[in-house]
Amino acid sequence: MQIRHSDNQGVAVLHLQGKIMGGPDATSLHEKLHELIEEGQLKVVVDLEDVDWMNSSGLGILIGGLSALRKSGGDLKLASVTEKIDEVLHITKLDRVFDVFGDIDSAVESYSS
Amino acid sequence: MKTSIEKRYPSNQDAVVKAERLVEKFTRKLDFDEDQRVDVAIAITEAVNNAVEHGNRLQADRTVTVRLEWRDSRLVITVRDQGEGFDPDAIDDPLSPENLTRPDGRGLLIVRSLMDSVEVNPSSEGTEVVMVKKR
Repeated sequence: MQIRHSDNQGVAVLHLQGKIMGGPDATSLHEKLHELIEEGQLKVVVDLEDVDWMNSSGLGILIGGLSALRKSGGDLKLASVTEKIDEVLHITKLDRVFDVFGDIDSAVESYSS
Repeated sequence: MKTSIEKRYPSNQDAVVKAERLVEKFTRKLDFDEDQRVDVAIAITEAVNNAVEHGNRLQADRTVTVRLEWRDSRLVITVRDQGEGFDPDAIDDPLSPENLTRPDGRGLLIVRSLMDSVEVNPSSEGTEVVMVKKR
């Protein structure tokens, strides 16, 4: 998995690419999310457009990041979720926990509303 | 192609990556479509991860065995660990509201949803998970 970080109107956008299945990949995502919290960047969007699939380890990292950000007054929103990840979010009922948006711009704009 | 293959991996996170590569190659050769291949890939990473972490508890002297078999238009995947035996009924319900934001505990739920059948056979010599996917 690869992670690229960009800024969109003061919102940190993490663009993930590949498969998210735990191990070193999950560790780097966990570290990146906590780095953002330490820097005070509490509005985060995770772009999943180029993620092939994700297992429960990947979901666990996102949930951990979401909990840590919400505790600090921030949030983590998901954008461009693929069909398979949407299915996994539905199976686990995490579609009720995460705010999910069709694209990055909608997710970023939701922080202003 | 071979209709069955068995591999044994040491109990570390590399096992998850290696088992996923093994099953990806196997399902491609069997002409599973992309959606089915992803279901199987997710399922094997969940099962091997559970075997490494919860079954073998990352102990270096324990291994995880993965067996892939093609029979009667079905892919049968068996994942065995060498732990003390894992009781699937002891897992907290990951769908109950108080557990929804926990970072773990969803692996078996996902496997059961993506595969056609799943059996968990715990014993004092380890746990065997048998998962079936029809083509």
